[in-house]
Amino acid sequence: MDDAVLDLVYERLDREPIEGGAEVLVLAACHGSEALEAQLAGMSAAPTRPAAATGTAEPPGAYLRSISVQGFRGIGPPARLDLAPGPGLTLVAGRNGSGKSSFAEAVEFALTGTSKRWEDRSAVWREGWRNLHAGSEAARIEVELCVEDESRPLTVGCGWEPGAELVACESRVTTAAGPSSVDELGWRVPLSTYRPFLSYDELGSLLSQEPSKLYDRLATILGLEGLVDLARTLRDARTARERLQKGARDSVKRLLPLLGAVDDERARAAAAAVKGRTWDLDMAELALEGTVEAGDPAGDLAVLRTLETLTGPDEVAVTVAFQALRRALAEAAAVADTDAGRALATAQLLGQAIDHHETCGDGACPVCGAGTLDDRWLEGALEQQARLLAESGAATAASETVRGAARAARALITPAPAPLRREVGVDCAAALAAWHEWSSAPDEPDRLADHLEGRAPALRRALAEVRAQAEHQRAEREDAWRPVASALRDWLPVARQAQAATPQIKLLQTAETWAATAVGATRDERFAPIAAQAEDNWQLLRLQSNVEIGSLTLAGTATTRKVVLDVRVDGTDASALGVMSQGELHALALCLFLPRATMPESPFRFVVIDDPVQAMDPARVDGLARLLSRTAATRQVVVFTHDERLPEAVRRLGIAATVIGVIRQPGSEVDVRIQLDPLERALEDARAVLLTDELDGRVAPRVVPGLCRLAVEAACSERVRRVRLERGDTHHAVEDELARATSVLARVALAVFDDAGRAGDVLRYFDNRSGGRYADALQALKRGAHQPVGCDLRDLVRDTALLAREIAARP
Amino acid sequence: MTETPRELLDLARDMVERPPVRTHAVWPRAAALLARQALEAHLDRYWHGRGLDMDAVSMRAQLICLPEYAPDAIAGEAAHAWSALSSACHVHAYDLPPTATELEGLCASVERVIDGLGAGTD
Repeated sequence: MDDAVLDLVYERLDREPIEGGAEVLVLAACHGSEALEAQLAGMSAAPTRPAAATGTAEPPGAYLRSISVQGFRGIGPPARLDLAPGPGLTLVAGRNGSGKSSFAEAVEFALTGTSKRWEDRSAVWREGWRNLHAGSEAARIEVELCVEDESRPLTVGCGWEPGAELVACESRVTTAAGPSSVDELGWRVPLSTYRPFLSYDELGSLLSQEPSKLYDRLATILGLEGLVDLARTLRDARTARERLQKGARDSVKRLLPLLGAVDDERARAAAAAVKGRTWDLDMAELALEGTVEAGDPAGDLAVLRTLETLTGPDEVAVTVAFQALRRALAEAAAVADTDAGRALATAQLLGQAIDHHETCGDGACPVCGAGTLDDRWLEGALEQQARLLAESGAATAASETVRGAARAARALITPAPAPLRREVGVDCAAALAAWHEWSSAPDEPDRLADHLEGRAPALRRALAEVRAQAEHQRAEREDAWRPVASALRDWLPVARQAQAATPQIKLLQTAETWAATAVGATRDERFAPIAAQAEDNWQLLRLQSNVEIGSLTLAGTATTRKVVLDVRVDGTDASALGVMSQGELHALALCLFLPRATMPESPFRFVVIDDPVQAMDPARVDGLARLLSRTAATRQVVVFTHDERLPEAVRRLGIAATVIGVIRQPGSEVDVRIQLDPLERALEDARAVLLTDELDGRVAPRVVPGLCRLAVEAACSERVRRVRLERGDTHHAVEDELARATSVLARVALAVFDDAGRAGDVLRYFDNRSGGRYADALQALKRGAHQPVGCDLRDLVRDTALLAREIAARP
Repeated sequence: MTETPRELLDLARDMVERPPVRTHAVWPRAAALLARQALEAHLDRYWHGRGLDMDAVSMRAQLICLPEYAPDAIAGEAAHAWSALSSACHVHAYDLPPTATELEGLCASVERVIDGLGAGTD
């Protein structure tokens, strides 16, 4: 993630703030998905705005001065392309395979470390970068650039040792101040944002793609990749979380039937906890730990656990109790026959009588029938009872002991515990019956003691059976629960993540929306001037095309993103890409590319265009020449072209341009030289052959007439094109006519008489004009292209030059 | 004296393989001119060998007649080589001079035509 994007993001955040949580995510996402994940996991501090990123100096403007290449692509031995550093148009013409594109690729590679045309190709293509003829020798690229405010040109160079890989090379930059790098120059970002290179392949692929791809390509030109990447990083983070949530939900769907199939309250509790839209994971966790019944003591498991602990009345306690009771009874019996015993018995009898009197009131004595129970009697009875009780002593104590022992014994008799009455798969009937027996104890102390001794063992046996069954039952339930618990245990952490993801997804969505808005707004801002200029450019380029650009906008986001290119064909609205030819698409792509590459903010004052002419018809080439010329007013425009159309148009239209010819000789030796127009070049060639001593003597007579004829033909073509195109003829008609005039005399007739049919008049016409020299020369040319001529070759070249220039110069 | 077709073809090949320094940008067209003359000169011999007078007949017409006398493959190759070489010898549309590889191919083509046609006496 480069600083430019971070700057842009901060700048947009200033203008369009979002909630803090989402802002932090946007900033983290600027550094890639790992940083974003760390931020989401809370493992990194909130990013702070880098101070140095703002206010970086505007990079200085650079022009190309020369490109030197050796052993790279189509170029073997060292070759150098000199360019005039400054605004202006330079055409580099060479056939396909001449090595001209290697210069274009070399500049691009030296500056960007790659070449667009290689990126999409196979490895074979990338590995074949070394020039075959250079063999294993070292390869080298050196690009000289003149930078404003710098007294000396800087060089950007790549060098490879024999056998080194293409990518093994890092560009070295040398400035007047010493070694530097592309990064230090501040060129890394502008090289992608204002990309000053465009090849035919790139032009072609730019528009002939599905709408979203086209959008992406344009977005690339607009330098939006950073923002688009940012939005993608956020989206990826969100979708990953949504996938996680979906996975967790799907797991629940598998988990619920499992839980339902187990008759276990933990399963029921867990199912209840995760059944709804929002999961109670803490509850599920409690259920998993088996502590769910802590809040529910009546649960089956609690019941089973209780049953497992039921032992009944303690054996020792029971024994102690009934023995103590019996001992107390024996002692009470022993004191019964003593005075104390009798006094006690009498006191008790009196007590009963007092009770009787209190209940029934005055009346006859029920025991003797003779006396009367009345208040007077009561007075005496109470007195007597108190005296007797004082006398009873030991007997009272013994009686108290019996009561105490009986109380203690009864305390052992508790009602049957509730769990025994629960249906938990344990047969408690016998135990309940035994317990019922146990708890229906008699009141009389002596029978009570027998009861304890007699019933306790039966109850304990019944309870032992209950315990065994309860244990077995619980083990079975555990067995059924274990696999379900395991599934639940595996799911829980995922579910926790999924649950934690919900607020994150919300934040991510906010961040995503913000990023999408940022992409859209930045896109529109950056695209508006480009669209305007592109439409303007198209006016120049379209010429005879009936396609007119209406509006050019980028619209939509994500999967709906597209380029809206409204055009009018013959005044009728149409969807652009459907109606445009390949050539028109190329032209349109160029219209779009040039404004971007020549933005004032770009530090590059040069544009390198490789073969823009390929699919263009001649008429559009004129428009292209004008467009390039206009661009060249403020920029150094270097155009590589594989044929003569563009140089011809430039000459004919009187556009100031330097034309450089590139010819590749066997052994990948590439020859570069300033090119003259075809007429002068042919004459130069003819003279060169004449003056080359080491040439086989048989060659010149064979070749010179042919070259002279080329000069005459070039002069004729030049005049015919100039006259006829100015007159308003179409390019197509002119080229047709020229192609039909195959003989030199027909060509001259077309140029001189504007009628190829008058070839027969040509010789007579020139007979009268130059003392016959032109006619002689024309005769020689007519024959000489096929057979050697007998005349003096120097004279022939001289006369041809005069004749050809005379034809070309005709008004 | 007049060079034989094979001599002309050798001159053309020399031009491609060892272009003299001073002729650096001429050699493609020069080689094309020589190779074409080699082809034309051989056709001339061929017609003479057959006892036909084609001196006044254009090359285009000669090539149209050729399949009547020679195998189609040879005649086709002759026509193709001639027109390709001719376009390099004329100012044609906007073509730049042919490349060394193209010229090597065309010279090989001319040689096959020369070998294939023979002297026309058989």
